[in-house]
Amino acid sequence: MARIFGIDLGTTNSLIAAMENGEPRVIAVGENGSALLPSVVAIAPDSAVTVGERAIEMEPHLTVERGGRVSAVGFAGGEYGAVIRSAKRYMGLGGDEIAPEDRARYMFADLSGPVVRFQIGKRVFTPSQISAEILRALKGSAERAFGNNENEKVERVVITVPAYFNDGQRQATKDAGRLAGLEVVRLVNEPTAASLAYGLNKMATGNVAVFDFGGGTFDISILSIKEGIFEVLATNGDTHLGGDDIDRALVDWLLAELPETLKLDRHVWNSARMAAEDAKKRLTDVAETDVVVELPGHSIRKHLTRDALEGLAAPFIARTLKRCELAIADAKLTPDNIDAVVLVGGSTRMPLVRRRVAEMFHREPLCSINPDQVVALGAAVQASVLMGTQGDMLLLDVVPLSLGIETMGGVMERLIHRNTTIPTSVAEGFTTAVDNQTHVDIHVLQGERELAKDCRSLARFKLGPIQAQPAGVPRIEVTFLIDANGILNVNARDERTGREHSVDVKPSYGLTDDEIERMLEEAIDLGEQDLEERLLISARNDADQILGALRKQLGEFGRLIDAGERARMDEVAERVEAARTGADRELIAKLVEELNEVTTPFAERIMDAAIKLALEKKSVEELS
Amino acid sequence: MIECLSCGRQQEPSLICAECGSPLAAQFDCFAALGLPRRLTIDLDALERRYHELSRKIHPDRFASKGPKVRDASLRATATLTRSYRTLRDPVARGLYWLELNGEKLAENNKRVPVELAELVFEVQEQLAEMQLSSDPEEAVERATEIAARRIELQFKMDEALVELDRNFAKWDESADQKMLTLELKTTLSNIAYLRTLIRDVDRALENSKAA
Amino acid sequence: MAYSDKVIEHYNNPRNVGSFAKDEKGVGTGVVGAPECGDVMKLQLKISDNGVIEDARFKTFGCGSAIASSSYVTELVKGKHIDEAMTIKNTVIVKELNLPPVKIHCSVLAEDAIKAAITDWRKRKGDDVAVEEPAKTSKEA
Repeated sequence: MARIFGIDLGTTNSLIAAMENGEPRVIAVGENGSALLPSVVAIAPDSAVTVGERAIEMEPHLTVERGGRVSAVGFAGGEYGAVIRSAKRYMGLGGDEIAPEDRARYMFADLSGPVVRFQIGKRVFTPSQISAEILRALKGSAERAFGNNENEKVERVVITVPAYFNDGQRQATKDAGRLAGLEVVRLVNEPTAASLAYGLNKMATGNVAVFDFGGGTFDISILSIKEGIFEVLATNGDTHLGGDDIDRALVDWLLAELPETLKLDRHVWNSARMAAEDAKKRLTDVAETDVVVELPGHSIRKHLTRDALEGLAAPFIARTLKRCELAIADAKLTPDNIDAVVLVGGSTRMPLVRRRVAEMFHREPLCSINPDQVVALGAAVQASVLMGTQGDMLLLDVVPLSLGIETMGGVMERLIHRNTTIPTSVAEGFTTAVDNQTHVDIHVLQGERELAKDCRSLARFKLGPIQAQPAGVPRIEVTFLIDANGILNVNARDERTGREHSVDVKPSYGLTDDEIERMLEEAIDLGEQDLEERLLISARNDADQILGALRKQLGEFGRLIDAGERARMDEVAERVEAARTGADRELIAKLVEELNEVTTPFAERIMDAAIKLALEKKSVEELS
Repeated sequence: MIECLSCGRQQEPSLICAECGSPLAAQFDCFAALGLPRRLTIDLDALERRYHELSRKIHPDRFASKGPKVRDASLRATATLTRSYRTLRDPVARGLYWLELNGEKLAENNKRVPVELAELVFEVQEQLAEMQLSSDPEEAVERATEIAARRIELQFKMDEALVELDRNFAKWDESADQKMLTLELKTTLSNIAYLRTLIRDVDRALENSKAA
Repeated sequence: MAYSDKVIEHYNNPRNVGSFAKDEKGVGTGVVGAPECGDVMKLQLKISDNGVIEDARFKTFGCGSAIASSSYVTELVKGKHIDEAMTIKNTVIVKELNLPPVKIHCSVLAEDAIKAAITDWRKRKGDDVAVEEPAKTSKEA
């Protein structure tokens, strides 16, 4: 039987792991032999896809070239192609659920629909499609690592998700697997997976808290481990709280003196983010550091101490601790009943996080397994459980959020409470309210709030057709079943006839099966293009990009160059234009490089001018 | 009688096929699901062991590579097992389920709220309303402190009621006078319900006042 | 599920919320509970000597359906003779408010509260002694 692989589809990095001789091992997928594949996807205007380290290079940012020149590089977004990071943040969300600060980060297609869509080139991409590219890259790299052995195909996988992911976010993750051509045998909650990795050798007994603070999400799970049974008692979290938030606070601090327009510039912002991230990492080991962001003709240099960083990070960490309190209470325990605390996720490297966690649980947390890898390792263990090669080990997880239906006055009637062990089901009787009613509408919700409007809409079901009868006579039993992945299934039965009713499901958010089918077809089309053709298209796109940018800049800033310079630029641009219609991709690439060269001084002057202007304006504002 | 989808054997409802050990998606009572005699007093450690033992045999993770029919049976059987375990583990849920098994309805002939308890409910609810209405922050803090003290009192009453419930259970298991005992059980369970709702409201109000 | 505007109106702006003074003449009090959800309801009726319900007050700290049921029923009984009020069935409330099956017990609660209040009034009238008043009087919430 084909092996099942474990995948950690992370906000910042993704990993793939498998069991080797009874031990979980991560598989090297990065170009430098690293196990971490950055969850960054670059999509060129023609939809050519790049994933990982090389995609990061394509992110819009400022770079210092030889001779100290600073220039703007990377896909600018929208029609110029885009680089998407943290796609996980958008999984399963509807357009109306995008936070304001996220709206500025990417170009979105129409946000009124049930699914977020990125506008890139002429196409739109859902977060599931972006995640599918990461999964496809993991699959490809892992298969290469096994020497493209026909017997080591990556086809069946376990994918981890934040424990606090709702039904829609889970469904979107499953969709991503399907779009990548994978059979998702199981979704496993990240903290639970981590506990499997820790518990494997020791077969410990006791209560364990898993504190999982990653790039974009936070989870806390409390488990009871007994003779190989890993039973989750309670879980809590925030799917929009992670190290990214601390980076963002740092960027705000770094760019505080810049005018608003410059702060929002994608090149400037990303450069600042990179500097912030590096500084944060350095401060794990040292007490103070300098943070430098090079802008053309202007550099931002600030001194950052660990204390100051901790001041910025403290509010976010406080939010994680609040979640911990709730989870412990839901597990009907106190911190002193917890026998071990496990740290998971890159953000737990921050000394402040470790101190606060130790204070809360009155014990030093465990971090003997690399916090970046532990989830993937656990996923491989769960994969092995599913293959039946892990003895008596078994995972009993819970549903993180209550599930219910909308009743009178827009009130949420809870049917399955949060932290109920899954799989679980509940049957509920429904009837008609008026004579001869032929359909009953049911609105399914997920969340803890009392009013339906404050909970998340999962789906609307239409039961029927029901035989015409007086009001209240029909008896329809609807079974809500949450499977081991934490995903809802519904079926309905007429209690008197015993006949199954059709349930017309309209998910409130997410993709329909038809849409996924269509995307699969499109993906296959793309996959079949041969490599040479792809490279040619990619070269043409580079040409289009630079030509487009040049035209735009000449229009706006033509005054910044003299006639001689202008003539040279026009001449090279014309040659690029001519070459792009041909099929010689090397020629196109060479000319694009040349054009890049002649236009660089111009680009620098534009940037200088823009910054100077903005800074002058700022100082005038400050003076007045 | 139900039929095993894997081997076709007809048998009494159970979660596991007696012939081939496959999971069976049967609907039946919580005690039978866990293979326990119908008694109200339950050894919780033994209950957990039994639950784990059955989970190991029928959980969907054990059938990940099997066909859709067996996977579906395993899913439904495990859902039944989980629900049964949760019902029996919690004494209040167990008591309510017991009434259901005996064809009794909690609310039937059981609308009267003990005067003392009703008084407590209205008093505390008035206090909560006052706290929510008070615009003076100092006064709000004072009210919150009063209510926090009330919360302890309510927990004490709840603990007492749970002890009483245990007593009801033990009596039932030993005695034959079920008519009398049904009434007692109903009264205890109702009192717990009124207290539980009140405690829920108090906790919510305290949480809101903390947030504000 | 579609609910009539009337229901939403009762839910959002419940009528006749509050209490009568403890020792007011002609007042009957019913305190009942719905153990399914733990809601407790107090319903008071002011009844004339010849048995006509002149006014009604209720206090319900519970779910929306319980509040709407009590609000509706206090409106319904006003002006009715107690013999007629005693025959009010919860099904009337269910029908009027379009209650879903899971909330039918709320209407039962309202029906029982009326009966309890009338019984209390009869008892007080017959015995002419004060019966226990379950809740202290206080300002309206």
